[in-house]
Amino acid sequence: MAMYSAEFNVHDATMRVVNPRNILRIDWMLPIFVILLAAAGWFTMYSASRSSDVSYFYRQVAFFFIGAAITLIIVCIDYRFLVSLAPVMYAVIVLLLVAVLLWGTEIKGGKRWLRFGLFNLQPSETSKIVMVYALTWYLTTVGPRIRNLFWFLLAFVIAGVPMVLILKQPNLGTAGCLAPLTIVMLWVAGCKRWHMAVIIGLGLSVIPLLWLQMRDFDPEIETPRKAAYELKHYQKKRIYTFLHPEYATRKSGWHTYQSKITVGSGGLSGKGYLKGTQTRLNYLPEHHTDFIFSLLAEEHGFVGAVVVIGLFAAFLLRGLMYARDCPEMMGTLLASGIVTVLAFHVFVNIAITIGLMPVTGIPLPFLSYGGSFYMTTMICVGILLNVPMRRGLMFIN
Amino acid sequence: MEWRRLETDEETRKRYGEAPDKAMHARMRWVMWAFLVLFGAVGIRLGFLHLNPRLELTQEEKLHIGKRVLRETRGEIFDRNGLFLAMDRQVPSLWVDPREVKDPQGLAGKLQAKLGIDPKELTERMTQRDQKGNLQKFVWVKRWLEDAPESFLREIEDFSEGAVSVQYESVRFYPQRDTAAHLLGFVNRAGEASEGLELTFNDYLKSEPGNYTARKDSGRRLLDSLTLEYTPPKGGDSVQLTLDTDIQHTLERALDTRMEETKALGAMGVVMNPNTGAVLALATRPAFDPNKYDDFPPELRKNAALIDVFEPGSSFKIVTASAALENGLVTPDTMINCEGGTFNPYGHTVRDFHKMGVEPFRKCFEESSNIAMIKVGAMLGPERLNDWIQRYGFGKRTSRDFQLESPGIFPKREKWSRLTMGSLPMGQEIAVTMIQLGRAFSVIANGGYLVEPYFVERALSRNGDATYQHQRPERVRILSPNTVKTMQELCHLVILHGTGKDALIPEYRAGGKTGTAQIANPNGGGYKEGAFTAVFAGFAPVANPQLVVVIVVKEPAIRLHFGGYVCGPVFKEVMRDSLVRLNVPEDPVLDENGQRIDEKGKKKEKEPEKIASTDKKTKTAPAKPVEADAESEDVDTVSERSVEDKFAASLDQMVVPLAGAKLAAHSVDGIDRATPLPDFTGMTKRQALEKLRTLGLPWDQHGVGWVVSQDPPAGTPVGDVVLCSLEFSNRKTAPEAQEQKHDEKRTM
Repeated sequence: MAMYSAEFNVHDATMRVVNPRNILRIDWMLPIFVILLAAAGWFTMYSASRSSDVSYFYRQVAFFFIGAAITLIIVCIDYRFLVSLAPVMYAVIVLLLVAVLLWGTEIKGGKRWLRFGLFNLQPSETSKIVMVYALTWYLTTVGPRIRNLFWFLLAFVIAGVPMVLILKQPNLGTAGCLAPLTIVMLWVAGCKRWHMAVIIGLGLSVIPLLWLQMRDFDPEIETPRKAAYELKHYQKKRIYTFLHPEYATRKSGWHTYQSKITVGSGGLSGKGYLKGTQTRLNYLPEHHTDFIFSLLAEEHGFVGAVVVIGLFAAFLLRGLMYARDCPEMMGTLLASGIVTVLAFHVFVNIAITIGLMPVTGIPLPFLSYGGSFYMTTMICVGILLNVPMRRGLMFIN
Repeated sequence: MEWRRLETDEETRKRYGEAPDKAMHARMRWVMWAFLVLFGAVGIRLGFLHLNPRLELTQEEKLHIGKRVLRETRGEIFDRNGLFLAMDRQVPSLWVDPREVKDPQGLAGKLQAKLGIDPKELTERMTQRDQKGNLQKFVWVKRWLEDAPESFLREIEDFSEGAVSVQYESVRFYPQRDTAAHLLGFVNRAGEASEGLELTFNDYLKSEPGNYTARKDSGRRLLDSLTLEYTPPKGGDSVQLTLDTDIQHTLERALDTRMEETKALGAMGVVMNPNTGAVLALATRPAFDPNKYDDFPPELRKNAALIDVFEPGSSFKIVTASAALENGLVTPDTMINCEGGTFNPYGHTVRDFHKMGVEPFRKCFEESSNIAMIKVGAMLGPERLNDWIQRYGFGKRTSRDFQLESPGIFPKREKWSRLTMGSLPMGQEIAVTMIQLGRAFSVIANGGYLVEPYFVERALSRNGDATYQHQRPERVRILSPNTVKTMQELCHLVILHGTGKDALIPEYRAGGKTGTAQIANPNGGGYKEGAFTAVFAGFAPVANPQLVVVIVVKEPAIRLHFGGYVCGPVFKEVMRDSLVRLNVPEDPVLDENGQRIDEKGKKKEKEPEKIASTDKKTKTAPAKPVEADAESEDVDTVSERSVEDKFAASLDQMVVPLAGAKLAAHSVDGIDRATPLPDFTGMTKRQALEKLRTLGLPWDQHGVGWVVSQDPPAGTPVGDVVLCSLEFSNRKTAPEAQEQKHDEKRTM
């Protein structure tokens, strides 16, 4: 809007932390994609829940509306205020992650939950958003000094602490999320290209390292770990089954194998809504959570899957456009960080369902069932929507 | 709090050497491209999974499709009343999994004690190994333990420690055992229909297994709700026969008894409805039990009633006789010279059992004169005889319902020998099946139509839809009604006075013909010495024939091997029981007084009463009660008459048969007392009596034949008549009257 152009607002140096009028200024494009994706999620969830429990569907719908309320609240809060709280958030989240390791509840082979009587908290889930804020705060504070190797590496230290703590749980998926987040944000902040190239090269060097570990791996024999860097047996097994899909289709490869069949059997236009057989007959477990995309691809085929992926791409690109068009670095960093977190989930989840990646528990935004992740997603949407609110604002000393 | 931009444009330019927006935009473009590449990769991978036919993921999904075979039992066979004659039942069999057996010999020994099987052989089979050295998975121990109780099977399962298991198999079961076994045929243990209707109607009875394919869930269960394909099992239709099991039992029992009494080799019989051709009973003796078909030699399982051919002998004379009657060559009264019992027209001597001189044709038929028949045959000539035999359907299969039916042996016209005309008219040089004979008699019974005998009324699918319904072919009339009537009465006379007296049924007037044929020497050339086929075929009741019964006894080993003596009683029993069973109204045999001839004993008891009644009749005025008395008391006052008398009287009764047979008394109230008494002269006894009944007059009768005189004379007012006395005779005026009558009939 013209009146918020730099020329007219130079005097507006103070910040209103909470401004409900922001709701009226929401960019309409992103919410449309969100609603379309949420609707796609409801439809798919209805189909998925029919074979088990229809209440999943109702709850999924409820999650959206609760999440939408949270989104509106977040939109009203100036992101600069939240970024300014980042160091505190960071400290809290690191403490919580340590607490999880000490007193966490173990579910499915990972200590991820903290029980607080009334509600359960999964600090690793929250850590994704917190890390976006923390890195935004750090990178804006560091400013151009990021081109300096020290400050560049310090960013990895900041990201590395929670990452290691999360790996300790162990929660490979979430920890893995933090790596692209850090890389993308450092890139957007304007680090040196060769710094980045070296880091990415080091990251890729993990592959031969993994190969060395996997070389003599036999999934049937569980050998004790010799070194701390060595992967655990179940992790090796996942990688092994990813590399050898024909192995043990009924054991750990079952998910990938069945998911591929499920997706592939959809064909071009799918089996039709509510007619998916693989999922309804429980060949594919977790089909209402991590593998819901398989169900979608089965029932709606290639066309349906591509439409949903297109919606995700449009949604994320719109987010990146906010980042690009934001007049200040903080908004750019914040938006690109948020988009990276969401994109990581979308990409990794879909890649797992179509057998491009080994199985890790990564949910798909808007489609997978799960209250806390839905809330995380909607908070992300709120943060993204808040970024263009600052469009055209200039703050000068 | 004060916020400021991170860097000025100046600073940015210093960092990147370009405008800050541009530098940042460039970096963002990188990010966007990275995202697009990743999403593109996902899209390509998706397309690869979805659209690449080489992956055949859809095919892989087919592994999750299960198929189940749906078996339906073979269709049941039931009789016309719905009684099951053949059905499937589950019979336990024992099998062993040799891999589970630790001690084959010990187990075999135990099983021997229980089941009586050969332990050595079983041990051998249990320890047999295939090329890879693996034991077999499945070995039968003993199959079809039909009568083994459940507990017995459990016991064996228990002591074998799970190695031996029970499997139930469908086995054909014939609940009525040997009843109609020959007609039904049987299904062997391999499930193949063998012989009989089981074979002929196999296409209906057999069931093809259907199947349904449905998705399996991860627990490998087929889900009905996700049925992909469903093929219902086909066939398994039940078949309804025309048989009546009760009549079948009667026939079989009667045949068995007679066979034993006459020490015959075999016997067969058929009961059929002449009007429709429906066969109500068809029996071949000796019997076999299709449940244990293995225990019987194949010759015994053959349906002789339809397959065996025999010379019909005298019973075939109906063909010659009806042909001659139809062609107007003879009348029942045509006098034929029977040559005193020996005749040699064609080069071989023909003899009659009853040696006769010149006799009317009816008498010749009654006594089954071969000589007379040869003469009648000669009148017909070979062409017409050949034609008529074919019209009666000899030499052809009768029924579509039985595959293996024999067409009989009837030589073609051009193969007839010099002797044929001397043999064929009396039923030699031709071999027929029993069912052919039954059909020939049906022609006479049903008013002149050739029918098709059949056994299967309909087939019903599992849903109750008729998949097969017997279609009666259009009936072909081969005899005129007049000829039929004449033939019926001729046949009735056979039973009344002739060779078929043993078949007389008091309650039902029956017509029939006996036959005693020699049996062709199986080695060829001439006839087997002292071996005969005794035949009796007939129908009843004459007033409205409902049934045709043919009885054949093969090689009775008694001196009296004649059809009438051997088969007559069987015919009588079967016919009477069947008619009663079918609720056919009585058509009692009446003597010349219109009196029922029931058991002879009863008749004698009544004789003393008769005198008293004759006293009474002069005194009492005509009134209703008298009339009732008149009927019961007016018993035969005439002592035993000659056969001729009886015959003449009966013949005339037959000419005008009365439906219902029993004469009902009419009320006299409505009759004008002034009505003149009619002239009875020339009337038959029945006509006269009927007239008198309508007038409500008591009568007195003397003699046999036609009325020659009456008292009071004609014209007397009915009111004045106390008793009408009629004098009957066929001696003085009979010939003229008879001639006249027949002339009248002819012109009609």
